[in-house]
Amino acid sequence: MTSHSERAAAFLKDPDRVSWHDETLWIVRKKRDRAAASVKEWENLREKASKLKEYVLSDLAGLLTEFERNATLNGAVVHWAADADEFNRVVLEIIKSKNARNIVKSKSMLTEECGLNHFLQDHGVDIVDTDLGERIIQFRNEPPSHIVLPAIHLKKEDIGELFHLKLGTDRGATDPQYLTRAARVHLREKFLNAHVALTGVNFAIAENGTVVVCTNEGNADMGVHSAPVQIHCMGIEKIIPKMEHLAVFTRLLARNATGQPVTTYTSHYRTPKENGELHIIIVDNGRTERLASIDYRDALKCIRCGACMNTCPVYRRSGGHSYGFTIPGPIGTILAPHSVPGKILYKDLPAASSLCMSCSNVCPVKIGIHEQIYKLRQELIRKGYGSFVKRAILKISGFVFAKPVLYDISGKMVRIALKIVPRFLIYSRVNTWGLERELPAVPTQSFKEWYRQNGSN
Amino acid sequence: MEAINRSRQIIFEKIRRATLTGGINDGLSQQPLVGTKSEANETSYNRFTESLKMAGAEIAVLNICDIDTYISEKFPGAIDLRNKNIWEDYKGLQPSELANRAECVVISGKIGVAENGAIWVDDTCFPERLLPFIAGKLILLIGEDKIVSDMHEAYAAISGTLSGYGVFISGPSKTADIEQSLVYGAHGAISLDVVIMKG
Amino acid sequence: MKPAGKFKIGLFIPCYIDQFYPQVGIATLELLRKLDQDVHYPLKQTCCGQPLANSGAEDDAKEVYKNFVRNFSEFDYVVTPSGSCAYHVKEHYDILEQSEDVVKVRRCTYELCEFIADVLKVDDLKINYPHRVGVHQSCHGLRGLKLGNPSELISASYSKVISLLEKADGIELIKLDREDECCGFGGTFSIFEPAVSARMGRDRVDDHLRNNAEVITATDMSCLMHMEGIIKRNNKNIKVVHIAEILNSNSL
Repeated sequence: MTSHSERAAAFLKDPDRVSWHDETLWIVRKKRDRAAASVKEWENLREKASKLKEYVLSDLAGLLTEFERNATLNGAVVHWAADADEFNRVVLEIIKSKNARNIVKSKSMLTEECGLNHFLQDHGVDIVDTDLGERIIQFRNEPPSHIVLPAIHLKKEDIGELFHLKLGTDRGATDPQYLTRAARVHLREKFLNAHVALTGVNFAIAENGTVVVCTNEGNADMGVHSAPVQIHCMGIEKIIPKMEHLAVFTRLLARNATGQPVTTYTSHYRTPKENGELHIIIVDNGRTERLASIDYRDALKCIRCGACMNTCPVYRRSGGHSYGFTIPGPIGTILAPHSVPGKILYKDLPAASSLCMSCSNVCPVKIGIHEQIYKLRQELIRKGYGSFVKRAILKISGFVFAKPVLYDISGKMVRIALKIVPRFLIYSRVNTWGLERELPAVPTQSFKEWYRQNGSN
Repeated sequence: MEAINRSRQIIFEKIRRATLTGGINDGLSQQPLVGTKSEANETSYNRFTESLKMAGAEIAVLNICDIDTYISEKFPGAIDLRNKNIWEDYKGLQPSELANRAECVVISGKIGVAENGAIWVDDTCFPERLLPFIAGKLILLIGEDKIVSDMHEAYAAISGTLSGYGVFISGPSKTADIEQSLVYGAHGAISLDVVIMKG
Repeated sequence: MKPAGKFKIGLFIPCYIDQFYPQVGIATLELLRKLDQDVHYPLKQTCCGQPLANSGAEDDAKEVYKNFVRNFSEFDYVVTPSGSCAYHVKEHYDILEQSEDVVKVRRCTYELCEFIADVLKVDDLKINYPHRVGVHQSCHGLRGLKLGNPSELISASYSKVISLLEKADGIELIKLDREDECCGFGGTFSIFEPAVSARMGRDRVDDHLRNNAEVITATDMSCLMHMEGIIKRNNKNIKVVHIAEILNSNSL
């Protein structure tokens, strides 16, 4: 098992591609800045969205009950899944009960989280991702590297080659419009013959049992309206009280995600189509454990806009796959360690942040992402997960810094050592600072020594 | 089914416990009201047309009496769903049949949103939900007087009247999944023409 | 312009400045004295504890925090040439029992520029600094202490640091392509994630080079130490100067 820093180092071996990745996502960040600045009450909207989500978390049981009642009245079938395994089985049961073979799916991070695609494939069910980016990575058998721009780690040459193999496009063709048209033809055939359409859910409205899905491509609607059976999959935290609250979130979501004033399609599914079925699967999978945690609960407010990735200077240079978790970047960093109840996983991720705090500032629901990263670091050390060496160094430093005399002596020793020890020893592999950086020049006197001689008033 | 009901119980029990022990602020029990009014210097009409252009839509502004001529000349053969007499011809058709027949579709929208160029259409605007998506060319009509300032006003108008399905459409179908290059017509409409009706 | 008052100031010099960049401490001390302040440097100070806490060893840092409070509770203000340390004291000393001394030290600890602008209310230091300067806005000062408005927040534009610098004679403040991107130092981040950290540093230095800066300045020597390490390794023609040294190059 490699760590984030090793995977990041591997990604950084191609500096031109890193420059491209960094600059491309930075442009998305700047588009977001312009879109946000065009809304004068932007910061006020963030505050409202944050408070709304806090309210939702304070009354989840009530809102879910209301939602279930109204959705059922609308003719939907509501299912509950305690964990990923149960979620996958519920989906499979619906598919099997309909003898369905052709399944189309629009983007759902929840199905990624639960590993639905592989589960269904293992049970002989073919499921086709219909978002262009998702289809690309499905062809490559890769996870998404970004929650909004799933194939952002790939260049058009990569995709041209892939489509040549999979879709028979011309060898060497890389024009995005040409490649997109080829995918349109390929996926339209899948839509028209779909038996079941799956979607994620951006928002679920308690007061009328409606689920709302936002896409730019229109793939959720193409699938849902073509297939006789539609299945919407949501985590328990996707609920919001009323239609009017949608205004706050739809104003924030696309602007923050891609810099568009709204997604091309904001679809509201309330009743099944004539002679159709509408299923809603509501999933826990660790969310209630997070809800019980004062330190980490706020991450449940996330509306999956991806802005924290675009602004993150580490993400932009290490790539989404360096995180090794379904959801990369800053929000992934705070979700991953407690993603499985009772365990602590992805212990390398909290260190993969320079704590620059930009993520918390762009977050449309004001999750204190950097604060949670800081808390995770404390938790890891407290529970003994730092490496022995790291913990020992920290313990000794704590001891030294707490004792002024020891601090003075050890500081002097370091400065003397840096002067007399040969360069090849200082710049060994142990000193990761020195791999790509020089150490500072060593002064003869510390400030304290200078002050003792010259500093008094 | 029993296992699922058991999961439902477990989830609600865990939520209840988390809410009790997790220090969730009881002061939040009052649902916060949304009172955000958007601020803008421009008129809603100007913002609407600007937003539509940004979203990749073509715009025509016409008097109501000129619309039929405009549509028949510019979009010959278009399926004009303002005429409910033809709805029966499309109800219950298979997706592939719809795909063959509905190359160009005209739909009357109900609300236009100035801040983002989105137009609201719902079950009362078309006989099959797939029609606005399966068409390569989509033409949406919207009355000048149906333009609202922002999503707050739009949802205030929709809240009580939401039918079985409704969607805000802003521009043609888009993707930028290949190197962030914007391409119209990922799956749904390749082009969107919006006709703003005056008078 | 006269300072708004004369205060008894405890000067906190971060450990890496003490050991590696004493000239920054000296500049800070001289500047504050030129501004007619009663400045003292408590000799038993060590570190604010941030390197430990940011690595997750907050518990081990507690004794360090207590040492800090012991050293500085007697002063009207604690002033330090580091946004990061000031932020740490204000933000993360919340794990100590909030005694009168702790509360006071947290409230009265200031980064140097912020202290000059907000407490002394001096906005023109009569500096002469004829150089092309790029201001690297260190994250903890910018986003933690709010020394300026970060580019991602939709708010009025201001910068307490640039306001002090732009009145200098001869100075040319260059505009960076990315006005407040992190340099990638991040404390132990620079050790645990060396590849990303170094790449961030190179990109930050390159932004300054592309825009013809002669000097990179910042409120934090830690960011500058990291960038200096990269500049030296790659033989780039640009130097780092802490903001205190620029502000002290005055004729007050």
